[in-house]
Amino acid sequence: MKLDIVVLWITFTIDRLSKMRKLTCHCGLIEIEINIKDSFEDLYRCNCSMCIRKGAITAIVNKEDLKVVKGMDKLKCYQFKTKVAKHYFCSNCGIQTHNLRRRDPNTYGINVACINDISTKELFNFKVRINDGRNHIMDRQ
Amino acid sequence: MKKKLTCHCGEFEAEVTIPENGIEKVMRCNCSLCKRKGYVIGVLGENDFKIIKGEKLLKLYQYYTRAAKHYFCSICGIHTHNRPRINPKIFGINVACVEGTDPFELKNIGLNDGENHPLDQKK
Repeated sequence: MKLDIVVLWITFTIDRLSKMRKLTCHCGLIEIEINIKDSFEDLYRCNCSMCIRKGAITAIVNKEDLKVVKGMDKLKCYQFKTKVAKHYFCSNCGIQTHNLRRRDPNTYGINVACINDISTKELFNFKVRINDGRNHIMDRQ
Repeated sequence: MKKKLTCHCGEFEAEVTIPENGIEKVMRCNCSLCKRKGYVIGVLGENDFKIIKGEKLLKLYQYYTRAAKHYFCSICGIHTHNRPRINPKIFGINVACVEGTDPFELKNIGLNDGENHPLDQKK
């Protein structure tokens, strides 16, 4: 019985670690760990006034699946309008790493290009949809 | 024609000169920095970019050879423009920051192979 629990715990830990991915800004001051449950099925670029300027390919992760492991004091947060969303960038290199989403503040949008184990070729071949943040669902009547 | 280029918070503003038919060369770059930025770059000549306000709020980021200069707004973090390593006199601008420009509507967006930068190749 005890052995079963240990085996289950080890399996769970290995499974979790295998899904852990590291995200870094460009200068390396910020390091983030994310736990992605699914593969990158829904990737988007958003056309809202902020994201269109960012230009980043975004994927969604649950809030509890993202952990800043290094450089928390170097992250800068930018907010506007309703100030629900939080846009984080590295104060040294300016790379936008992730953002707390207005649509669902229990989730983060992550800059997929910052994930270390995604090759450039892979990144540029991803299927990316356009998210109509310009006409945000929460601004519609 | 003259157009306004702004970061998101509006603290930084520049005036850019763009041909009537739009910017001739637009591209994404796959170098370690630009792929993280993600924006569509428009190439402008050395006299086509003039800072109007907020120069002091701009932050400069340099790395590796430190020939290129990458600028972003220290308040909203938006990368507005750069001076590329291949020719530090000219400007690479974030086209999404230019008023009335929608990068999703641009055609013929090229791919700049910054990952294999010409200045890093052995002759």
